[in-house]
Amino acid sequence: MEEKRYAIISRESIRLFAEAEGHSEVTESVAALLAEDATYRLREAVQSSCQYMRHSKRRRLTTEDFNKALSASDVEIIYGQGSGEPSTFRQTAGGELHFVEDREVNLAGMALGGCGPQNPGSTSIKTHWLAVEGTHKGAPTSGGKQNGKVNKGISADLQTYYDNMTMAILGNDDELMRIALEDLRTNARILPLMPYLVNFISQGVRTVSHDVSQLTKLLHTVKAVISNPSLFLEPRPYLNHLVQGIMYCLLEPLAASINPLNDHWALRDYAARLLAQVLNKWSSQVNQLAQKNIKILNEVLVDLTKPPCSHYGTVMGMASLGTAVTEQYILPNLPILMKHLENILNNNTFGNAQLKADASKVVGALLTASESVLRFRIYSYANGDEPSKQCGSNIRSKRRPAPLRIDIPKVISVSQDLNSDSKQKVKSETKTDSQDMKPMLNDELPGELFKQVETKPTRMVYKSYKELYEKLYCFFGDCLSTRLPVAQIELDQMPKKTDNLVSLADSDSLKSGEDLLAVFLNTADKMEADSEHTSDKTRLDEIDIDGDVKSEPSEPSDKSDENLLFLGEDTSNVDLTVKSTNDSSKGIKLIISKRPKRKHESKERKSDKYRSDSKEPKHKRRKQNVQSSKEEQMFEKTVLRKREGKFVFNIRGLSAVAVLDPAKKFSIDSDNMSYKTPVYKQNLCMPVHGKMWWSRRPTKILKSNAPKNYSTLLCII
Amino acid sequence: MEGNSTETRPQAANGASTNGSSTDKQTLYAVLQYLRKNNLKETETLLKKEANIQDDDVPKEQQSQNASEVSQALAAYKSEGDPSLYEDFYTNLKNFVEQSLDTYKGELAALLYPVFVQMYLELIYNGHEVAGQIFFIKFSQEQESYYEDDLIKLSTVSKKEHMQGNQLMESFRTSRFVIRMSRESYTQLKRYLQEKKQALLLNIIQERLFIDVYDGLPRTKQQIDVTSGGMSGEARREANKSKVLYGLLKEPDINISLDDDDDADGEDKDKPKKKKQKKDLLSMKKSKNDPNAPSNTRIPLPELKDTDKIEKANAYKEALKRVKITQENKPSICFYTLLNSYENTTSIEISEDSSILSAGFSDAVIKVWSTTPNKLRCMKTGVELDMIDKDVDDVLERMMDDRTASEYKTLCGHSGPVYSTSLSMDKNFLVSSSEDGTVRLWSLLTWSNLVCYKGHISPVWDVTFSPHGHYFASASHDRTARLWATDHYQPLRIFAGHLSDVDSIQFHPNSNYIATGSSDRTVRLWDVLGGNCVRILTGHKGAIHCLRFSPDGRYLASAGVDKTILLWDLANGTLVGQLKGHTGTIYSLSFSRDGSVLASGGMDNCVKLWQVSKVFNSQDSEGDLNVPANVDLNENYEFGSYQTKATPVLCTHFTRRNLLLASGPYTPS
Repeated sequence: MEEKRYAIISRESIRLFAEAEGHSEVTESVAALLAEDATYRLREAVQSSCQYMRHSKRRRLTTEDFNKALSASDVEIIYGQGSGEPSTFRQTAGGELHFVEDREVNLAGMALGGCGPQNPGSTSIKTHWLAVEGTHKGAPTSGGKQNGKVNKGISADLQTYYDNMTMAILGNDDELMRIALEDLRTNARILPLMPYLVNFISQGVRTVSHDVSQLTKLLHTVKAVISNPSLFLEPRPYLNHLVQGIMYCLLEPLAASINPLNDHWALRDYAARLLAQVLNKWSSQVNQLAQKNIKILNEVLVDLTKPPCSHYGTVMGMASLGTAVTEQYILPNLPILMKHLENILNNNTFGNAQLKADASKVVGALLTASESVLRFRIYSYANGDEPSKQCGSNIRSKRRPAPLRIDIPKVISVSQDLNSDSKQKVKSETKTDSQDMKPMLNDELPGELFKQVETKPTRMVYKSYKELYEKLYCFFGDCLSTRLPVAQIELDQMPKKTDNLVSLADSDSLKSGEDLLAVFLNTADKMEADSEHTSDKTRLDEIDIDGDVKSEPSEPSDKSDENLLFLGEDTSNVDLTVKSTNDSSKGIKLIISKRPKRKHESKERKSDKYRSDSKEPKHKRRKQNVQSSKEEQMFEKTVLRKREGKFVFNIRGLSAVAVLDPAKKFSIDSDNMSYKTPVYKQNLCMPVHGKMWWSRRPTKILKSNAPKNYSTLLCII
Repeated sequence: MEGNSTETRPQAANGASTNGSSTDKQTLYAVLQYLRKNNLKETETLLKKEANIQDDDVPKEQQSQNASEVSQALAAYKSEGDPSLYEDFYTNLKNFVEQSLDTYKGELAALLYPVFVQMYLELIYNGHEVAGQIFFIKFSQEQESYYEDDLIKLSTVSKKEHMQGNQLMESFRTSRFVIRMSRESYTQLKRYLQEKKQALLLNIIQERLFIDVYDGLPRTKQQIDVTSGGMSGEARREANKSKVLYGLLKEPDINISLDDDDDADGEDKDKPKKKKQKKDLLSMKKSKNDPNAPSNTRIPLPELKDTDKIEKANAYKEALKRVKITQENKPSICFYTLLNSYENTTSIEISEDSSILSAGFSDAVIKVWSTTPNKLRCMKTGVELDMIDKDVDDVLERMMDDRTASEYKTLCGHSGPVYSTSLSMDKNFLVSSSEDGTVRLWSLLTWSNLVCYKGHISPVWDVTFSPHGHYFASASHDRTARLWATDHYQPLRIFAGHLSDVDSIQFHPNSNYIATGSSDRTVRLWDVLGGNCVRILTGHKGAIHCLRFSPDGRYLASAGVDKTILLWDLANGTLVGQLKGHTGTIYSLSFSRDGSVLASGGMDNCVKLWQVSKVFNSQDSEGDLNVPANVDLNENYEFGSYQTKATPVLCTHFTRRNLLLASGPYTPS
């Protein structure tokens, strides 16, 4: 028997207890006697309570046991509720006394706080086979807590489970699939199934690559597996296979993508998100998972022979991994890539149509990535202001996953104001009508990466936000700038983006679209008065600026309402027609047609500065006085001309047509959006945010299937 | 010094005058020695003259033992000895044991512990606390490991007042520690005691210890260890001498079309076509009238009702389909996990026909589940019962009200944790015991409490129904077990004898005997008829929480805190098997229906299977009955071990077809 130490109540303690009770005079011998007696009683009570514990078939001694022991010894029990955990003792300053912490608790707050007790449920019985004819059923090492037998093969039970799961997942029944996935996500005993599941996934992506929905389901499976807290994926092959499977979905030109009706873009987005999730959770210095995969993505990115869908995949993948990755890999390659894409987009042959559509998607993806980078910059500049303020509608922001532990060698050293404590959330915009973008990613992580790397001042890629913005603007133009928050940054370093780069006119550029239109109408009135004389046979070719990339022919819209608002000048005269259709699937059709050469155009040409004809709104003429910077030339004004006093346009999903009396003020509000009837005399209302940019030849992105001469109007709604 | 000598002189003179007994003479010599040592020549000569002792009579004592001898002698005349002497005595004893021959060493070493304990207690009792402490600290380390618990308890007691209140101490003081010793060892001991004239030691040995001498070979240490561990030593031979009628009762003739009963002692084999099947069930050894079986009327048992006969017929039919379990043909285990119990479950029991599972909880409720698809139904009210036709065959079914059918039923009534439940054979009654000191009888037909038996005043740890119904027995913290009948509100028998609280209790298959296991680490077998203890079985090193009789009634398995299962032969009270393997307290045992396999479960979340038929078969040879243990310690009988996830196994049960059921509460840590 080894030397054991038993609890002893010392004389000091006795003295302290006595003092607490009010007896200050306790002599040495008394204290000694009491101490010994108290020690004995304590031990006796403990031993007695052990009996109760043993008969309750427990290993943990509870306060109840102790109370029962006390009551058996005719001692008054300790009243009150016992706790499951042992009390924490703290020492007084002098170290003499140990006491139990007695913190004050705000009961009202607790009670109303909502964390009420949950009903644990009544005791129930669950039956299962522990052994069948001697063989141990199930996974004895589930949860890693047991040291039972290790099953080399998979038990029949698990086999059936696996079979059922796979059938459920790939089957037709959604409900079943959901249940199956739910179980995959939470089941703690399927560790032995890991190789099978991983195999299932990696084989599955190859075999069902023609079926997007199946692929999606496989990705769901991956998500369930990685969300399962009890599955440890670290062993080498599992993670690799899973990530490979994801990458396959992400990058490969799937058999499914040949048919443009298949929405493999959504699949790629999902795959990108999933990739981010996996890498965030499982990448480490040891397995270098993130680094390897980023490298793979990079390779695909620079490889221009790959089809656009692969590029899309890589861009989305990188974007989902965070702004650091984006900055590091995408942005440097942007020039080359954009050029490549521009080539595709400029190639307006019929056969190239699909490719063009794909390429535009890629451009969209790049735009998104750049946007996120810029957004992050903005917020980091703003020292972590509340990031959720966003001008815009339908913002979805999601929580970040844990920061990616990528060691980024190159650091974008931003200004010293970078505040690393802010929680950066990326807003994701929903589809905008006029864009041919896909729904945005939800879990980009701009900020956290920077948190870690900010202190390493190595090679700088971009010196400042301004430079970055400028560079990006070269590619994307207004599409980018409109996506960024406006006027919330007050710091000096933030360049006034509007002023230098894009300006149609000084005062007018700051006006809202409504005002502008109001002004238009006013001047259009005047012009109309003027134009009564001139036979303005402007032919209205319509330009379809629908958001759809699908090569649907633009529906010949109702030509009865022809309104032209002249905006532009310069060499070509462009008329803007706003056409309406009754087809609610069409978006706004703001049709700008390039006017064929007219007599009066020559007149226009004559006028040097006056690059528009007399019909132009006055203010436009004013604008012409502005210097023509290079950027400005890109955004030539088009003329929006009003005709017949009507201003008609069509909004996606609605067939309402607004007919505005030019006399009336053009008002826009959102109440009347739900009208479906082609009412000619109603006010069409829609919220207009930001500015309206009229552009003639905005960027190459937005060129869709429109014929060559047409330019497009951007109207941000 | 002078005073001393003058004091002792008249005494010495008295001693010499009255009787020249050796002890007195010895004392005399010791005194003389003392005087000589201290150069009290005059006194010495005077004493010699008065006592008529010649010089050469004075034995030449060895120098080293001089002082102790003297003080020993003096000590006899002090109230209970000088505390400092105890150490010396004990050391001497130790030396003696060390120097004895190897053959005797084991047995003699068994003396050390009780002597140590008694000496310590005496010191404390006489108020020599400090000396007691010193004594304890010095020698407690050297004691056997299985006495550790008791020593811990001993160490807490340091005052006489404490002792008086402490049950354990009282039992130590009052009971006599039994040591079994062969005659040769005993002779050695006697010689030593007489030679060295250690009066104190002798006192202790005579008063507090009981040395049970037998003629036979001395036991080895290993053999001794097997059966030691009891709080008051081993069992005397006389204790295990009485005859135990361990056979099964003669089964009544059931005239039901199919067949007779199962394992019968002396049943008429008048159904020849069933002989083949009966062969599986009958043990060929049994003769018509088993001499070891009690008569059917030894204990008044209730008569068999019709339902019981039907049930027996069913049982027999099931038995025909029984699966034979061997090491190759392992059983299937069906596990019932209690979820959401949060360490609340205190006991689980399954009925004999495996259709009902009852669980007791520490919040004083009992929950009863049905393991079959048949739900639990309540009986109809009296009014409704009057209306049914009593002559119909399925009257029993009609009696039950289907509207009240439910998966489980809750029984509330106790006011403390329910430590044990037991279901009667006819599934009409459930009896439960609780910390509040009461035993309650519940009806499983009306699902209500019928009777509350108040006899124990301290927590009742275990309760069990008799296999023939009507009787049940309870085991309590007050160190007694009681036998009750359902129709008496007071116990029929009180079985007192354990030194510590009785933790578990079980009826013999013939309902004539009751086995109890206690915290004093002994198992006792009591005769129901007379209430006397017929067997005391020692060998456990920890409290015993579970007892099971083998289906043939000859063997008893017991297990508990010491994680070992011990198998006893009730015929002569010897230990026949020791099964080690569990790593936690064992709370449940179950024999397979043919008695060849034992299943055990415990706190280590494991169900283990043991091939006990091997153990029993190897017992055929009659060993030396004097040796209370005939155990082969090297053999491993375990052939299956099944781990659950996080569920201690509180109940194991073989169905009639030898399917193993097990149950426990899921306790994630």
